Amino acid sequence: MKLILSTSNIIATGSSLRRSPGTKSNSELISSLRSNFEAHYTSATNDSENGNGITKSHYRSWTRRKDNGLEVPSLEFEDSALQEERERYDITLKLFYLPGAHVGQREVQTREALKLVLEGLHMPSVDLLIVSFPGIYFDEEEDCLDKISTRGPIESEPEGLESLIETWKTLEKLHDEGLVKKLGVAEFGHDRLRDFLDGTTIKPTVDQINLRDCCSVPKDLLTLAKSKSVELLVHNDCSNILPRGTTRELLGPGEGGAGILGEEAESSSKVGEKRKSLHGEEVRNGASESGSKDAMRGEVQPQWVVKYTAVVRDRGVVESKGYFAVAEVME
Amino acid sequence: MGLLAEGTPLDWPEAKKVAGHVREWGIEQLLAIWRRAKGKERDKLLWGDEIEYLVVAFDDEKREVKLSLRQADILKALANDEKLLKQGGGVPELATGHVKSGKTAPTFHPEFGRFMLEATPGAPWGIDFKDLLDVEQDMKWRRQIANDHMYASEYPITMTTFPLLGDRKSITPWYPPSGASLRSQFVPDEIANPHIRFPTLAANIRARRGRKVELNVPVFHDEKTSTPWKDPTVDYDMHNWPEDDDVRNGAAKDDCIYMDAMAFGMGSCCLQITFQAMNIQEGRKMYDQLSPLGPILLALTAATPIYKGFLADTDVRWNQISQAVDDRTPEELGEKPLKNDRWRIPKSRYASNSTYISQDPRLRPEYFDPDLIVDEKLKARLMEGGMDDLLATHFAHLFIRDPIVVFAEDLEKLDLDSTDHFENLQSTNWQHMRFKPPPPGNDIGWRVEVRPMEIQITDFENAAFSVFLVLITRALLSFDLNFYLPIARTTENMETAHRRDAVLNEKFYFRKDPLPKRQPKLNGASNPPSGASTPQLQPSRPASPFGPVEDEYELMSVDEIINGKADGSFPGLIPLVESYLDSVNVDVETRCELAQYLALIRGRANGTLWTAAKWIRHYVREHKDYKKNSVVSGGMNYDLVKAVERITKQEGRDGRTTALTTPMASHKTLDMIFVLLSSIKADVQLPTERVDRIEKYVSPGMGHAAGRQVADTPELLGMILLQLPMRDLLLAQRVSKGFKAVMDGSASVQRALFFMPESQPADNAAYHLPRVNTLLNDYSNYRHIPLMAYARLPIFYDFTQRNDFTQRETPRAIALHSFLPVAGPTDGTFAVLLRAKEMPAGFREEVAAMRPDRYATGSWRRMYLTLPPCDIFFHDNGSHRSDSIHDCTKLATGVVLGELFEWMHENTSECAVEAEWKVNDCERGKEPGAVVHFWRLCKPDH
Repeated sequence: MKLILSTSNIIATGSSLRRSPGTKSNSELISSLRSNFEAHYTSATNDSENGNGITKSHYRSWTRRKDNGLEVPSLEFEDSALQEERERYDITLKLFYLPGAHVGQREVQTREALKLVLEGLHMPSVDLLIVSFPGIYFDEEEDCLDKISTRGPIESEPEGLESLIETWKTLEKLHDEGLVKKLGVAEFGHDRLRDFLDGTTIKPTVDQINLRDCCSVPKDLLTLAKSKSVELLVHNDCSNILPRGTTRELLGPGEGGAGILGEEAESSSKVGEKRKSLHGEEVRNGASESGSKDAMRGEVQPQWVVKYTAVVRDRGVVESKGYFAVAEVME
Repeated sequence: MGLLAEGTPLDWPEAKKVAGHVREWGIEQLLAIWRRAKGKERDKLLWGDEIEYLVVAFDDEKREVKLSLRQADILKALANDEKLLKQGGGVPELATGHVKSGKTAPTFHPEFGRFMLEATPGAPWGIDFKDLLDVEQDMKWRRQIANDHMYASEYPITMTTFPLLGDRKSITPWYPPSGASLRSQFVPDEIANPHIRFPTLAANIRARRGRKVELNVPVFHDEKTSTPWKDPTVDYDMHNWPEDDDVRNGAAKDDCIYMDAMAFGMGSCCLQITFQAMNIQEGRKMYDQLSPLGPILLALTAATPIYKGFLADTDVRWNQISQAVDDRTPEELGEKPLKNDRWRIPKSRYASNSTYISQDPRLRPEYFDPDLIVDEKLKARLMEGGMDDLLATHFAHLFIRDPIVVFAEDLEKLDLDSTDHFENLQSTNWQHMRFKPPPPGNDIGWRVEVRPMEIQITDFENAAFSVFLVLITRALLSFDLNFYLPIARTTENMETAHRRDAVLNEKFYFRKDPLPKRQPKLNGASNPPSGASTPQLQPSRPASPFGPVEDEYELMSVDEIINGKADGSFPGLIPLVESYLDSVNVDVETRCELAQYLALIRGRANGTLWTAAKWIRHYVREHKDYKKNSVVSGGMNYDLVKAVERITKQEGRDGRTTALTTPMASHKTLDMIFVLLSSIKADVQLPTERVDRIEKYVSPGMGHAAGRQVADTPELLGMILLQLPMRDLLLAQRVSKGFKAVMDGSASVQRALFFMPESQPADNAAYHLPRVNTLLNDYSNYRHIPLMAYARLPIFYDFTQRNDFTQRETPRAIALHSFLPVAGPTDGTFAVLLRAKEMPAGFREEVAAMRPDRYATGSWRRMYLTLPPCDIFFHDNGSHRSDSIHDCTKLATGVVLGELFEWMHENTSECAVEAEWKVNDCERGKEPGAVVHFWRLCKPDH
């Protein structure tokens, strides 16, 4: 079963604000997913609170089965359109291929992600699509403590150049079809970028790197980027933006969970991931009542996340920002 | 300042008689604008800054500096500069039919003071982030152009006020005070721009008021300042004008510096930013939301601690300008019962603003100013013309004032295509925010002007505050932030911002939660963006009951407002801006440049960087001539303004950490060093760049002999060298053999270089706090002091190399990171802590690529980490921060940098050690020392 998770437009919800300097940079995605789920499962009942907090309504009342997937929450794109016409905006997508997902599925995944965003914003195309491959981290010249703390759990080794280029061919097609004007990569260091540029037809015009507050970029990367007209942009995202444990917790029966997944199967503990909640506390296993009836069982495997932002070009105002994510539940 | 119309001005009370007439026509013109432009949509963000300068003239022989009254000549020179005109610059006011060619050289404008200049960018700025980086360059260009059109002895400085304005001496050419328009006993009429508008403005304000304006600024009581203090410069025996009676009637208050002319206020320089909004709704929103930030911006930019040669007890200019243009009559002031006047008016024409105008459901009636005075008749006319209540109230409030300067010619016919009568009142309401309708005849949109900031000494700072404000507006529009605060609290905050070091010591009312309250809309729908093309469509939000207004705000420090609260309950304006930057595409170089600007604001708020006010006050109080009696003498003023000029030019690149964090004494000394170096240039083995700078700096023939003399006197040289910051001190060893010998022979120099331990003071040994080697602090500066950002890793740097962003050649294995102090041992000890920790990725490769032999020599290796020398402990209880050194192994005592360096390099293996060096002073309840982090590779058995 495929789960399509979405945040709706989060720009004016406060989710995208840095709460404190140490905040993990995927907290925007996690907290906005969580609050969007919460808004749905609480509003569906709209009961006054009883002593034990909010009653969660059954997930079937606020999600929707479609084809072979489940929309969490149900997708409604009627009111989510951008207000002005296409050329007034700079629309950027960042697609995170997650560790453990099928590499062979990337073409399908990429098209699905793009389609969701285009439908959501009611736009025919986007300006920039940046892809983030699992396990690839740009290494700064100097160690940067801030940065290391924002990587998220490392669940994979970087894949080889050939695999990257294979995926890129999909993106080149989207470019040829006019759906995407420019393509970009994330976290490529000098050598990887150089080899990648050599191996691709439509070159990336952007390499997005995470600097946090450490403003040091290797000279060789700067020189290469300049000579090949690759713009080095700054980002503040985790590469492993949606780890398995976090996903399970978001969807699970626990206190802040959506009640879509049942109790964790024995087998999933093999993953060996430390089960820490978002706030760093141990999750109290079984503390809450077991989830909804007919909750799903099985291991959950996040596949990809797409982040989109639409900025009004000549005013610098962010009008829309949000995420879609897809996870597979293997029963 | 707008274009200066010509005409025959009416004297008071003639102008008073036509005031109602001007107001009515002004309102009709406003309605015409309103009808024409209320539907104006989709304007870009365009913005502009205004920099105001004081033109000063130095006489280095006599060690004097005066205000130059040559504004008109300088403007004329600028207006006749063919090259400038070709590039679109010049002086629009003096242009004779010349059409701008589309290029964007800056433009210059006259200001009230005849010693002032105003400069604006030739074309407005946009929101392309790379544009934001051009602002500082443009500001520097403006200053350069202005300077190029002055005498060699003159310089455009950006201090808010000239410290000796009104001392009856410091203007050139000199004129006697007590002229017919100002009737000031301190300044001549010639202090003001001779354009007829300005003397009329001053004279009519005085006439309307019925006496001279009255500025009483509390004097700063220093050790030897008498109490009560009476301004010794007040002349009680002057009998030229009826207004000379003012002081005999008690105009000059005890313990206050007394001033009596508009020039004391309107002669102040400020930094104003104007934004064009996409439409009227967005403009109204920005006007409201930026208003509560006004007092905070004022406190952050505080730069005005001296008036008329005395240290004041306030840090900012605001109230003085307010008093300088206060045309209220005794009846309006509430001193006499109302008889002839229509109402009592609580605020001067120059004051914090009194209205909110946004049609925003979050705007609660409780926020409005309870003391607001409105001309109900004019308001009714505006509403009859179609204007909504909020905006009509705003303008009918501004229009309670009388027009001050009325030209007879303008009263002949009402021209609805013109805005002269409207602007007459609009532009003489100097509130801290100004809402500006589109002017007729071009495509300019609705604009908001932000007016509270004081001008900053350097263009770097002025650019930083400008850019910060731009980013704040983008963040507040994107995130739909809510800063609403009752206007009365903003008025109070404005007063609070005046207090000495308010930025650090005072608390300001601020909204607790600026985040939008709305729930994400269900079913995946996005919220209609604020101010989109269908602005009437207000986001539907649950009808959450409003709590008491008093619960919405609380007192916060500027640090909390800017940097956020430690408990995360208030995000902080800088983190909000950073969150905004996280949501848009910014390239690395731009982001890093912007980071420097934000670091300035952050540092101002948390106290690591000083305001100009604090620095000036400190400079005066540390000056050798200062008698601790609040008096700023001519000589002190000369040194001060000279120092300001140097800071403006050098921006701390002359080796000081930054100008505004370093006591001035050492700046002066640095001069002497430069003179010295130039006098013995044959010996100098300094980087070319430095030599070039020295050559530029030292005027020909100056100080040669004197320099030689000083260099030949070891004690003197030693004393001078001691004033240098650590890096320059280290560098000074390489100047010449003579220098080296002097330094080697001086125990105090050796101690200053951390080469030898200093003797512990016996008396309070328990509380003796070890000093941190400032070379290490230099590194920590890179985060806190933007100007040092390019000078990182000082220890292991090749000093001769100039490093900048794109040409950085760093030895990479050693990186020092400064952090906020963590809690430490409670016994007052201090130590270097080394801990096993996860190795950063790529670290090993970086070490392998290093060439330690490059650092085999160098006197820095002999430097202690601290004085007295500290212990090094090793600590390996995993990655958790330890708050104690008691469970650590002591490795060594009295380690010098060279040993530390070796120790960090001797082994290569799989783990890294993080060294954390902290200096604790828990007995005093605080931790003043820097905490420095190192990484090193360690043995596997660690």
